[in-house]
Amino acid sequence: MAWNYLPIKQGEGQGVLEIIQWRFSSPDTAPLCEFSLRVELGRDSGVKASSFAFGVVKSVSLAFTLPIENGKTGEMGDSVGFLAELVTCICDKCAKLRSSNEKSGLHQFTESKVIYFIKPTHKWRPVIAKLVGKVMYLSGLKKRLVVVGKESYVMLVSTIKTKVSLCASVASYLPTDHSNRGAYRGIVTGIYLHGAVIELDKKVWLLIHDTLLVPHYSLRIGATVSVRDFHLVHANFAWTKVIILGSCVMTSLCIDAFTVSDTKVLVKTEEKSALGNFVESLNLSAKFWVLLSVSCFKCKFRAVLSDKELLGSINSAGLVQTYISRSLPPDVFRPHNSMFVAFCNHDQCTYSSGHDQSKCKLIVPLSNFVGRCEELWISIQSEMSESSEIHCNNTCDGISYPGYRRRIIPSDDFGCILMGNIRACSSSGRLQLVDATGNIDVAIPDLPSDLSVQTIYEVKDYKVVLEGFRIERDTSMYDFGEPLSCCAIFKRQTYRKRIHGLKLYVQFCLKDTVCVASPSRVPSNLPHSENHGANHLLVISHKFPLTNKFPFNPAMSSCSSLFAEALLFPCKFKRSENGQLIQLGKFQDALDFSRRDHKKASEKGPWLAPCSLASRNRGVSATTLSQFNVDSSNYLVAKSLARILLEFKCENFLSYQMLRIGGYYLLNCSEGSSPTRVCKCWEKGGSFIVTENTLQSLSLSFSDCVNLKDPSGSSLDELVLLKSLSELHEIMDLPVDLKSVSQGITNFLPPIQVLSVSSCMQHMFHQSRNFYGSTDLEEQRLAQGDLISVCGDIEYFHDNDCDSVSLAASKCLKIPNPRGNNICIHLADDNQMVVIGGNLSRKLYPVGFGVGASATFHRLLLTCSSNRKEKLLLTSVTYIEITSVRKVETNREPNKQMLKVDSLIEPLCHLPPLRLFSDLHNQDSKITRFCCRILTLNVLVLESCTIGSFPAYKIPLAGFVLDDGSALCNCWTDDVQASTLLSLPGICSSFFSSDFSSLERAPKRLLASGLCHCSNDYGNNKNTVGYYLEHMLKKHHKVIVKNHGVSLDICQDLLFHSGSGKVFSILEERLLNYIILSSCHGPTFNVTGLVMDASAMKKFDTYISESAVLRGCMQNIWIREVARVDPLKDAFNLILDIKNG
Amino acid sequence: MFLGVVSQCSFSMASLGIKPGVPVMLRELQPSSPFFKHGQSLRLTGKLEAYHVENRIAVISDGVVTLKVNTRNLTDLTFCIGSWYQFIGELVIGLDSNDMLLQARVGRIVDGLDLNLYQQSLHLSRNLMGWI
Repeated sequence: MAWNYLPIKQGEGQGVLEIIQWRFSSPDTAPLCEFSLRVELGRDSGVKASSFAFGVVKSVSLAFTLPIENGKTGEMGDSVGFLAELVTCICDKCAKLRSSNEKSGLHQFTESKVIYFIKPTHKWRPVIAKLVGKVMYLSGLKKRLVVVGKESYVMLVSTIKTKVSLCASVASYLPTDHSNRGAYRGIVTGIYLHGAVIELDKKVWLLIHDTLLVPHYSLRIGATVSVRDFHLVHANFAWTKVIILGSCVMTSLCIDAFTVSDTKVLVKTEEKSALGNFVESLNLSAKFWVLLSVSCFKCKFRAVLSDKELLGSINSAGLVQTYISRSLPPDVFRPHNSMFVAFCNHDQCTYSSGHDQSKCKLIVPLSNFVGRCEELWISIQSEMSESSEIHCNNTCDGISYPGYRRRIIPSDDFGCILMGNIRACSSSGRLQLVDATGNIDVAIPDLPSDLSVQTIYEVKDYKVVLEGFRIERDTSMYDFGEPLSCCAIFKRQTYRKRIHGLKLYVQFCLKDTVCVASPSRVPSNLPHSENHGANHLLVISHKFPLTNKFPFNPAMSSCSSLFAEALLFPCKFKRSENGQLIQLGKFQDALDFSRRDHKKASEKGPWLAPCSLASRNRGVSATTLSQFNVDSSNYLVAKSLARILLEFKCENFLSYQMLRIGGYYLLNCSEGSSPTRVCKCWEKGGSFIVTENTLQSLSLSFSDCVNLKDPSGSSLDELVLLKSLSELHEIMDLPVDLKSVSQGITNFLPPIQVLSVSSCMQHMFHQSRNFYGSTDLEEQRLAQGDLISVCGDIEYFHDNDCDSVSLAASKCLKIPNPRGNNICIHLADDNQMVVIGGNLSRKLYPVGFGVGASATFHRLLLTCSSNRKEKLLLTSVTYIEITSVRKVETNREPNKQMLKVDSLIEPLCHLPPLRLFSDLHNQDSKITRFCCRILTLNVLVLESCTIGSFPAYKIPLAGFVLDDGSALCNCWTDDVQASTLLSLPGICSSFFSSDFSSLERAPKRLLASGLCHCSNDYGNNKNTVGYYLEHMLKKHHKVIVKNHGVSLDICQDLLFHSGSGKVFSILEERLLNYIILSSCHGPTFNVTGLVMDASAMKKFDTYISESAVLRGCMQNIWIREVARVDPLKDAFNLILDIKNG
Repeated sequence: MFLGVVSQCSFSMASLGIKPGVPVMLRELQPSSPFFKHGQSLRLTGKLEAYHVENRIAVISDGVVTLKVNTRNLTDLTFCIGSWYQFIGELVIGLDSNDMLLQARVGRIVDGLDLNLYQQSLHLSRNLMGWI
């Protein structure tokens, strides 16, 4: 024992005695050390206390207070005390002996006795607690019957005569079954929820039932503690396994060593709330789960709900308690026992017996969930890398791109419940599930129009989709530190999305979700009776995607808008007080107005008759109008539908998300409630800003077969992200059956035609024929064409930085985000594939966009590029709708005999047949291949242009006379093909070293003439023809070279025209001569081309000189592809031809 | 509240020959301090800087002040450099005022002690109790 006594100066002999250390000497070192404890009494109160106890102290309860009634006197009062369990010896010898001094020899302690230390001996608790495991002799006890509720116990109660003596000399022997209540010693690694949960050694979890058990100030992180007499539970939760040490009335906890590090006191005693009492009524594993859930709820909803709403108060239950009590099975509740009952029946209690804990799922904070998904993605990546399969990269135009993967993981694999608000992200417009910790993209196939932003949804059944390109980097650099571990949840660790290449989203159906809480301030959107204005019937014709206008300015992106285009039907409805829809004005009137300009206005317009209009969930049936007569003027009606633009501000992006192209909606318009007045919506080019509750979805069913289709199966290999409109019939606000008039209304509709890939190919083929020769060569290359909608499966997509065509198109279309990636999408159906190019920012990829997605591209631009190749281009109005996604493994099976259709030639025949010019007039196939060389030039047009900021040149037109040995032919081409034929990329050193001048002198002379670049910045390309051409075109802007010579052998009479009207210098003429002469009688080419007809030739008339006519070449061919003859390739093709017969 | 067990009781001083160990912060132990006397019983707290096993001298420090402590009389105390210790004992001052040593009779580890709070409570109780 170590102590220090500090006298108080004024206290006259008084002071403070501080016991610094005390302990019992161990029996080994001082076997005879004995002591006794008694209450100092000034008087003998004459209390009879003859009972005694002799045994080993096993456990001690906490001191507790309970109201007590004296059975004899009937006095009421509060009793403070504690219970101690003593294992006594029942041998005859002990029963007879009354004094501790007489006890010796070996005792067998078997019988358990409970002693109630009542006031004033309750102060002895620290001493008795220290004496656990020691043999004691207690005298001066009284045997009393203690009645607690319906049960009664005979127990020894302390009196003022009670005396405790330590019998150090007695050797004790405890049977093993009395010491197996568990003991654990470990380092505190975490204290959570004000000390209700303590983590030891990062391994086991100690649940504290009463914070009084804990020494408040010394229990800190880093301290070594030992716990005795607890309940051990191995809890297998749905997402993890946990070892729980549950404290109870008998548990003792003591600090063995203080913490070395400077940590805070985290234990706090709080008044028991309703939630606290609720938690105490659960068994251990359920209790642990509830505490974890409380922590989850706190971090998920602290921004939305107050602590009182969330956790409840002393008397009322909060959101957590209501949710948990609903989701827990009844067998986890255990009766709440008083201290007496719990202590006396400790060994029989079923405190730790488990229930089916796999039902307990983690209500995961979304940031942790994202962390877990990323961790999973990395493990998928490394798993795949380890597998022996060779990575099959996809190739496009000979360039290989990394493999793409998509995994669909069911919710059961996570063991988590998602919970949060559904919102549309204000910057990306995407649907998201949001909580305070983070967000996750969601795809909801059955999105209704009455989704409330404030409602908290619980999603138990969902599928997580992880997709992205294969990570080439070392995956071991990522360390996530178990985002779903209990420690991370209690610590409220938040995770940030770290893998940028991973696209992560969750698919679930709203019908499978449960609404957990919806704040009361949300107005009920049931009757819509507050909507005073008229309702317009409209159909959505297009949705415009969010364009990233101000990607680098967050302030601007917050005020972005989304738009949808709608067609307005010429009729108005009003909702009456009893929920009925009443038509305002006659359909005829409205129509008359809208077709005022049409002279052909039919006398007999469509008319409306009442039909039934039943609304969902309101139980109110409404009778109204809608019947559209079948009429010959339907086409006119469709034409006369007013086109309006719906604008969605970022707070109403959710309304935008629920809109479907081709869906019918009722639009509430505050204007125009009067039947005679015509509101502004009708005006041409009108727009309407959509606010909450202004749009109601309407399901118009036209035939009986609406519900015959099986609901789309959501297997693990395929996942539906968007249900078809007919499948959504049930969730629409107003399902209307119009089958009796279906004919009329379908004719009524404007065609929203979605092509399949195959039909798109056909369309492209027809279009391309019309395009031939029709492109105005003088014009800037503008992307022109039709807007079409195509659906198919995305076979592959990749970044495509070198595709000049789509780059040029994006420039022409002024796609706002220049930093958007130039991507190339391979869209396929069962047997054919098209390539879609264009500019799309990664941030604006719709949810699910990736390989293996079934997508509909609305308003793609079908255009014809300079080399007469048909191109499908993404534009800034293209809306991509992803309907479903399927699982994608990296090691894909080879494509199902799919032909890549980049040009029109390939779908028809992989390699066009080789023909002769002499056979041209009597062949049926238009696309043909020739093996020929250039004889002479007809015309060459050169123009200056810029690529980026660099000067460049282009060849809008080149005409040659080609010879294949059988006949001569006029061939026309442009750009790349012309360059190849002229061998322009070649080095022009031969130009200088040939007959004109020496290699040394030429550059100087060029410099002098202004042909050569004067700056010191001599690039590597200064010796190319192109380099000099660029500088020549700087001066002339446009150069036209015509051949007026009749001879086919030598280009003698070349005429040069300058676009700027300047005179050509000798060197410039020499350069052009050089280019043309070196190409004539040059190498042999493989040329693929199409025979041009007379109408297409008219465009070229100005370029054809009389001499060319004199030369007598009558055939004209447009060259699509040129390649130098490759003997090896030719031989290979020949073998293929022979093989295929 | 920082000490293991604190109990207050009336106590007779007469029968005891041991002087009370007055709690003093080690950084207060300057030659000008009233406690800087030969034979003064003190309770001092400091971080263990060094421990010499051969003569069982521990060196503790608090701020700039360091002090040697003779731990010959202490049993069952393990010495771990960097831990905080509290010693009660008598101050021995040699010829030079820098040559001072605490002859410890009680020692314990006080890791985790909030020193600022300890100092505050020390001042408060000094004023209240009127310790010397």
